[in-house]
Amino acid sequence: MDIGLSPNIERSSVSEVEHAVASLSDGERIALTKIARLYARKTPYDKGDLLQETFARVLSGWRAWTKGTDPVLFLGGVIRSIAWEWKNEGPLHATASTDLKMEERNANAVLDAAKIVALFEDDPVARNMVTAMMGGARGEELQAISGLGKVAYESKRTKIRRRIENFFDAEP
Amino acid sequence: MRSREESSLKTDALRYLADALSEDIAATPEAKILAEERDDSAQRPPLTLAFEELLADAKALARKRGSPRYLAGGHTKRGHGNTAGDLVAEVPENFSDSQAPLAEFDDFVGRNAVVGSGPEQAADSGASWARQTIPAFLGRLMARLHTRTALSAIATLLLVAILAPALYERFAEHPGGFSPSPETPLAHREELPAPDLTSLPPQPRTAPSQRPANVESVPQLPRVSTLPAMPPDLRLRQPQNSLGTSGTPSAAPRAQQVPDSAQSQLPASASSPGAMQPVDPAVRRIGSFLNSYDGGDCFLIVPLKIAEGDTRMEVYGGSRAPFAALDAEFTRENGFRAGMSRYQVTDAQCGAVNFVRRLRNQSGIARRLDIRPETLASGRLSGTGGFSSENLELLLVGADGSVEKLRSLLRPSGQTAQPQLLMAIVSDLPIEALNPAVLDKADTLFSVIFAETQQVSNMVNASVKYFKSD
Repeated sequence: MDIGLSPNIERSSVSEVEHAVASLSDGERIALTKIARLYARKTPYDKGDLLQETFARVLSGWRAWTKGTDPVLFLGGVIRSIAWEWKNEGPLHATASTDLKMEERNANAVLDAAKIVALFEDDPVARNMVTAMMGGARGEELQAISGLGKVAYESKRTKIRRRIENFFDAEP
Repeated sequence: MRSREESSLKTDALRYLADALSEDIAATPEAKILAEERDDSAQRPPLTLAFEELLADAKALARKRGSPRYLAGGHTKRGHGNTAGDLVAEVPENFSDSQAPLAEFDDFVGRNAVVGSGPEQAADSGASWARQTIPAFLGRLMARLHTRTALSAIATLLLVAILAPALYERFAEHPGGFSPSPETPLAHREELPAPDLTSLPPQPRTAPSQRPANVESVPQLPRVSTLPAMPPDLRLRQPQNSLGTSGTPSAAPRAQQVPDSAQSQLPASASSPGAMQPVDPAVRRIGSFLNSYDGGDCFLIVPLKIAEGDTRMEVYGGSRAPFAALDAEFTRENGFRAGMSRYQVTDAQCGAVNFVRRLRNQSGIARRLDIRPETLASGRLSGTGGFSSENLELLLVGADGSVEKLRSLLRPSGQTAQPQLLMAIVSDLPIEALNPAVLDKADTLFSVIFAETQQVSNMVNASVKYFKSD
């Protein structure tokens, strides 16, 4: 969700960005940390690394922050793209050692994915939804897969998120 | 073994899941996020534990980068790959945050500078300020030269040249015992040989923000007693068993009594002044943990003793959750539980707690204030403080945040078990914000004091003690 550098988009100035970052509420900080924790699981680095890199890029003006954009949405997007960069970092500097580490990391990711699916053994609907999420399903498609009404669907998504977060708490 | 393509596909499954969940997180109302975190952080450290530190690091990194060409070279992970040059370039802007620049300066020029505050410095805040600040100026100068801001470097050099003699002269005149007589720390330090650094365990090179404020060995110097005159109803006695002072009982092996502040003065020793003691790695590790632990707003750790298996501390916080988080994190990191006296202050008192914490971060020097609770009932206060200045103020911060100067205080308030904070603030210059007869509430007053002391470069130090008045 990186904001492009289109001249038609009104970008926040550096001081505005600094102010916005410094003014992040506790809830926003928690949300960003949770997002960083999610994406860090597929990189060799931790959530702190991801967050620091995110803020560094934003504060140095490398990521343009469109005025009015929600901070969690914007910074979450930056986190996501950095995580993607870092995931691909290994093969770019391929050595026997990094290659092995990459394999190990991927194996761990597969293991993680399996563990996450297993969390919902007791709830077939949630399990289907998680599997669909892992396949890239979103929005209406995901709701259709779940077979739930809007309220029940939202409630189930919250349940899924909380259970996965608790899993991450237990296995940081 | 799976092929790389297959593994990659599975890894992408996690990415898709992360995408979906992050959308959910972003869409979750803040109140709900906060409520969830309150529940979860009872079982684990708060997620935003080190957020401020992380932001500060990011700012430094952003300043350092500045150009796209630098970024194109890759990112920098926390704590990895710093060279001495990098570290020097990261010297913070704040002069008074002397710990990091000094350490970097040592690294850079190989000087045996004293960093941080040792027990011997408890009675010598002005001198230690000079010892820390002057090299810090120089460290900053080197940093500025390194970052090619030559003009600023020259200005800093001029400042050092002007201030250094004046500072030493001032300490020589100071009635509190800063004069460099043969028995005083300043003179003694001049005679000290360079410590044998090879006897110390190797130090990992970390970024300044991640480095414990002070876990270096420092030469042990004699303590100078310079207690100011006390109000008639207040009696502060000299420390009976402070470490690092000659004639005090030896600490148990591997145990360190530390002054107020997580900036551990390690190691302390009852041996001859100036002796260089290797630091116990366990003590170093624990001290480092306490130094770097960030419990968030309204949170303060006051280490009392640091030893493997026997660490004790006072912890001040605005709620119970951070206590549990520290307990869990400490146990996880160090393999044993620390003895914690947990003092929950009211929201209105948080200004006082934050003030002491900010000073700790600013100056690297802090004192422990010991009050004997049994003396409170008598309406007379007895305690221990290692303060040395003409300007000592004792303040009582009530549960409602009201702040009173301690004169003939500690009379029963008539209220039931109200949490009180006793603050001792010592400064080189009088603090104007404390002049009015009626003081502001804690949340305002301590911010004003902090700003004032920063503005006029008034060396200030503070300690806090919790008690309940019946």
